[in-house]
Amino acid sequence: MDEQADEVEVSIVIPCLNEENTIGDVVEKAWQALRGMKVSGRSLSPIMAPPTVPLRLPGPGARGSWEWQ
Amino acid sequence: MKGYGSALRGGIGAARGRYIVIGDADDSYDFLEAPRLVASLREGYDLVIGSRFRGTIVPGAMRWSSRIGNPLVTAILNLLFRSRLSDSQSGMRAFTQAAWNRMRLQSTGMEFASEMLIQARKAGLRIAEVPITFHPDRRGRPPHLHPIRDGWRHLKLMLTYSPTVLFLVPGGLMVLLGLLLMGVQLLAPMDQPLWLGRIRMDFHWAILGSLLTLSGYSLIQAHFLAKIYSVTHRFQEQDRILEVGFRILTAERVLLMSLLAILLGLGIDGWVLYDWMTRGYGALVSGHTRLVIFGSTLIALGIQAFFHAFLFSTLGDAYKRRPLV
Repeated sequence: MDEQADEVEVSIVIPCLNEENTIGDVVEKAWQALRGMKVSGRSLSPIMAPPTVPLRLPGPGARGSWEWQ
Repeated sequence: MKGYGSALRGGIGAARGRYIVIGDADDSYDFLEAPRLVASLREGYDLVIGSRFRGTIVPGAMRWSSRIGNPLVTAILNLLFRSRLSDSQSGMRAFTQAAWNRMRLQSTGMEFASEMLIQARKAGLRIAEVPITFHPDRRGRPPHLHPIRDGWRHLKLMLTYSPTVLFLVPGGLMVLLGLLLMGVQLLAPMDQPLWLGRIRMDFHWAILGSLLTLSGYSLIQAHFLAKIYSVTHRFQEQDRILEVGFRILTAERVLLMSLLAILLGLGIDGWVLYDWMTRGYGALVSGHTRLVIFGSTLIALGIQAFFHAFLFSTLGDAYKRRPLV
């Protein structure tokens, strides 16, 4: 684990199943909240089951998992 | 990875933040309110619940079954675990990484929400509630929740985490009532039924008393088995009653008491046999039946206690060898 990762102050964890229509907006709000708190943050989205529609996530990262510093 | 609890455990296990916020992906919770939850953590709380019932529930956001079921589950949880929460099923929460490590959650499904609060209470964590707004979800699909199935899973989990309420209280009451029913029957004259005022209580009540006593005893045994499991598997740190129980009720003492109960029961039943023989193998009066019920119950209790003494002795060794936290 690198030094920068150790500095993560807030993690936001969002469980998903079939919320492909809303997850984008939800992650966007989570991102805004993190920026508002002026913290380094992380958002993970563990997938309970394979989504029927590929997720289109804002921000960098592969499907379901991404991180801001 | 399958289930709400599994998904969260996987995600939280991978999270590295000092503070962790969780919430659903259906947009029913507004993550713009997350900073207020994190602010409470910074004030020193370990776990913060976003309370919909202390905040705002937008019309159409919560089904009527949940409006009834959520407060009901919350009331039961408050009663069993002495908390004062208003919304035990809220999906929007925040907690510290240190608190998460102390809760050691196991649930894979929706009951994860209740287990978190139960474990937080057991670990003595500081819990706060922050009012939040609950919105209609925008998925355009039916919700994941199944009110009856999920409600039952929450209730089952709460009872499992509360063996005193599940086993000890009903078991103790059954033993007391059973002994009372059998005991008062012994007050009646040998050749007459028991009369309480104008109420005739024949030996059938003693049979019911025996049934209650034996069943209640089994429940009490289940209580201690559940407690030992809970401590040895680190669901709880220690149990004062168990500590005292293992110190006082050693295997040797329980074996001695069980043998005494068996001998007393055999003595009572033997006397009835003797009396029957001396009466020329004829009809027995109701007093004989009552005595046989009482004596046979003592024998059954003694036999159970005799073998349980060995079982608890083995489990007691595992209990004493449990890893210290």
